[in-house]
Amino acid sequence: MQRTALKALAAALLATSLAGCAGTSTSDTAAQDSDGALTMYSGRNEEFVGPLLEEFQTQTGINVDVRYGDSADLAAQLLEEGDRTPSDLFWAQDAGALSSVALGGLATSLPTDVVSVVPAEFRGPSEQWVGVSGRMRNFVYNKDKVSTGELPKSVTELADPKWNGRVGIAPTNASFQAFVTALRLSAGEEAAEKWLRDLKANGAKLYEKNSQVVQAVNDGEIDLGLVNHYYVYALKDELGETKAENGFFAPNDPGSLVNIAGVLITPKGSKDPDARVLLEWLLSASTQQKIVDQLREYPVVASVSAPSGLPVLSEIPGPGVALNDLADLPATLQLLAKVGLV
Amino acid sequence: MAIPIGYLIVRVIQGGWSKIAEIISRPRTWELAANSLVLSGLVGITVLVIGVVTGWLITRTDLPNPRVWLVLSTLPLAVPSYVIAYTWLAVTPRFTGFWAAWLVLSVSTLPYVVLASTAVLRTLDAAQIDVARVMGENTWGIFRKVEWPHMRGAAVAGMLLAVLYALSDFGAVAMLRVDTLTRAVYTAYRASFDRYSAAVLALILVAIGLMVVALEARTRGSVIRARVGRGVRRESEKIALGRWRQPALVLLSLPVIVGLVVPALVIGVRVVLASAQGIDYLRLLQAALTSVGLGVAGAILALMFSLPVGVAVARYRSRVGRVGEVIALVTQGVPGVVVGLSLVVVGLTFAWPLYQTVFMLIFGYAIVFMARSVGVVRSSLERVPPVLEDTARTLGSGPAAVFRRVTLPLAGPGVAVGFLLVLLAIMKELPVTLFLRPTEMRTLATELWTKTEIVSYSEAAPYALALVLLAAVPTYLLSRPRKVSEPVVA
Repeated sequence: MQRTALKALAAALLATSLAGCAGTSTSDTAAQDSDGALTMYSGRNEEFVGPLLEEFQTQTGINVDVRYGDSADLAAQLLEEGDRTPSDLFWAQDAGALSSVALGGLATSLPTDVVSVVPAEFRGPSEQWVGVSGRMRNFVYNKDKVSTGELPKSVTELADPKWNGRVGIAPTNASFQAFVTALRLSAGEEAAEKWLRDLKANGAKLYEKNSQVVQAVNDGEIDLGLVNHYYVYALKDELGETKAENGFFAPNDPGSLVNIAGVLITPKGSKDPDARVLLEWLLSASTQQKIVDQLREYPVVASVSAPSGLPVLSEIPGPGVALNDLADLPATLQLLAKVGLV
Repeated sequence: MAIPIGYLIVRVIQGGWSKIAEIISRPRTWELAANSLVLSGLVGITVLVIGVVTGWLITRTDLPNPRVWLVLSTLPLAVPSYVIAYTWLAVTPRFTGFWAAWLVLSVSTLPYVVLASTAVLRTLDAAQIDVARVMGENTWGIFRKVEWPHMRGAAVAGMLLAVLYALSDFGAVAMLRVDTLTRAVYTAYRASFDRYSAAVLALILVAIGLMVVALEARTRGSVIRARVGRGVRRESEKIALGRWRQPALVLLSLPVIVGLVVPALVIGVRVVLASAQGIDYLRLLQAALTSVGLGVAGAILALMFSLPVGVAVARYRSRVGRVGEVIALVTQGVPGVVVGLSLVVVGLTFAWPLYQTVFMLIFGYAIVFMARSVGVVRSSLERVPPVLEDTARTLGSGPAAVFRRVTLPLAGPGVAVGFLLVLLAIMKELPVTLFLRPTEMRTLATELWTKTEIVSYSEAAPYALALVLLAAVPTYLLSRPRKVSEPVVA
C-alpha cells in the first residue's frame, strides 16, 4: 500500500516536472542570449496575443512568460498579490479591469514619450494605462434573411416590432454591458431602461457569449445580433464561407461604441527596462499593423489605418462617452437586473 | 481547510458593516439565495431518489447486464458539468434556464449516490433480508426496514456532495443562464471589481452550505455499520422485475443519454471536424500528462490530510475532527474563484517562495478536494469493526501498529475510492488551476477554457475528448465491485 503510494507520487512528480520542463526549456534557452525576462498577466486570449508575443521574443530576445486568465480574475489576483505580484505588465481585455488595478495602486505612470502616440481618449488618467487596440460594437446579420435595405441605422430601431424575435444579444458579456453604459450616459437612464424593456418584450434572444450570437446568426436561428466587429472573422476562419456578415450602425450611435484592450505596468515592472521595451514594441507602427492584420482590431496610433472593410475610426465618433466613464458598471448591472436581462 | 472561509470573513470585515447591510437589504440578494437553494435542493432530491433506485435496480434485481449499467451510470462523472451544458447547447440553443441547469447538475452528480447505494447494497448480508422475508415483509418492506437504514448514511452523504456541487457550480449555470448566488459572486468580481460584495455573497453561500451539512448530520443514525456476525456472507436472491423491466431500463438510460451519450456524440463530431484542420498532438499530450500528474499528486496529498480527520471522527468521535470535516464539506459549496483567491492570499503570506509553483497548486487541490475523500475514509473506517482493533490491542500492538496492520488494510479500498474521487475532481477543476498554476503550465481543463473562450469550438474538442477519456479511467475503477470490507462513497 505504502509502496504503491510512493510509486504513484514519484510518477506524478515526474509527469508534472516533465510537463514543466517541456514548457520552459525553450524559454530558458531564449533567456540565455537575451538581456532579460518579463512576466505578463494576460486577460486577452492566448489564441489572439500568443503569436504576437512570440514574435516579440524572437525580435528582442526578451523572454515573456504569460499567465492567461479572465481579465477581471487577473485584476482581482493582482490586487490580492499587491507588491508581491510576480507580474511586470497586465494586458487586459477592457478599460474597466485596468482602472480597477490602477485604483488599487498597482499601476505606474507610463513613460509619456512612449504613450503620446496614442490619442488621449485611449489613455487612462495620469497615463496609468494605455490602449493597445480598439474594437467596435456593431451587429452581424444573416445575409439570407436580412436585405441590405432593411439593415438598421441605429441600435434603437431593434425595439421596433419589425425585429420581433429576430435579434440576439449577450447581456452578461462585458462589451454589451459597456455599450449599455454608453447608452445610459448618452441617451439618459429612462430612455436606456425603456429601450432594454422594449428589446426584451420584442423577443430578443439571450446568449452567454458574443461568439454564440454570431454562431446563431450564421445558423439562421436569429437574423441579427449585437456583437463586436471581429467575431465574424473568427467564424469565417473556422468555416470558410459564412451567412453571417458584419453590419455597422450610423456614426454617433451608441451602438457604435469603440472600446479598447490595453496594458499597464506594475510597480515591479516599472523597475525593469524590458517592460518599457515591450510597451514601445506594442505601440510601434509595425506591431500595430500586425494587430490590424492578424487580430483585425483597430490600431490606436494614427500612422496605421483601420482593417479593410471597416469604417474608419475617425468617422465613427461613437456616442461621445469617455472610456473612463464606462467604469460605471454597477449602475448598468443594476439596470440590467431590474429589467431582467442578467 | 478553513482557508477559503477565513479569507471570506476577513474580506467581509474589511468591507465594513455598511456593505453587509447594503447587500443583505437588497431583495435581489434573497431572490438569488432562493434560486440557489431551490436549484441545489431539487438536484439533491432528484439524485437521492434516482440514485437510490438505480443502485437498488442494479444490485437487487434481475436487471440484464448489471455490471454494464453500473459502469454506464457512473461514467457521467467523467464529463465536466460545463461540457455537458455546452454540448447540449450545441444540440439546441433553447436548452437554457432553471430546468436545463437542474437536469445538467443532476446527471453530473447522480453517480455519487449511485456508487454509494450500490456499494452498500452489494455488501448487505442476505441473512438480514431473508429474516425480514420470513417475517412476512414484501419488497417494499424489506427496502424500508432493512436496505434503506443501511444505505441511508452513504446515500445522503452522496447527495450532500451533489447539493454542495450545485451550490458552487458556475460554468454550467452561467452557460445555461440561471441566476444563482454563485453567478452573482462571479459578476461582483468580473463586472464591478468588487471583492467585498463578492465576499458577502459568498459568505451567504457558506451559510446555506452549513445549513445543508447540518441537515445531513441529523440523518446519520446510530446503526452499527460493521458486520459482526459470524459465518460466510452470501448474496441474496435477485428480485424478478417482470413487467417493470422496460420502465426500469428507461429510467437507467435517461441520465446516461443526457450526461454521457449526447456529450460524447457532440464532442466526437467536433473532433472529426478538428482533425481535418490538424491537431497539435504534442501539446495535447503535454496537457494530458500535466493533468494526470497533478491529479495523482493532489489526490495523494488530499488522502494524507483526510486520514487523520477521518480517524478522529470515526474512532474517537472527536469534536475537532468533526469541525474539520464540516469545514472541508462546506468549502465544497464555495465558488472556485473565492477558493482560488483565498489560496493566492495565503500562499503569498505564508509560503511566498512557493507561490505559483506546482507545490502550491497541489496543496491547493488537496485543501479544496479533501472533503471528497474525508467522507469515504470516515465511512469505511466506521465499517471496520472496532472489536478487531480492540483485539489487536489486547494482543499487545500499540495504536500505530494497530492502525497500520488492522485499520488501514481493512479501510484500504475506501481510501482507494477517496483517491479516485479526488483525482477525478482535480482533472476537471478549472478556477483554482488558473489562479495557482505556475505561469505557462497547461492542463486539459485550461486548454479547453482557452479554446472555448473564442470561436474555435472544434479546436477545443480534442481537449474535451482527452479529458473525458482520461477521467473515464478513475470513474471506471470507481464502479468496479470491491471486497467485503466495503468502502462506501461519500
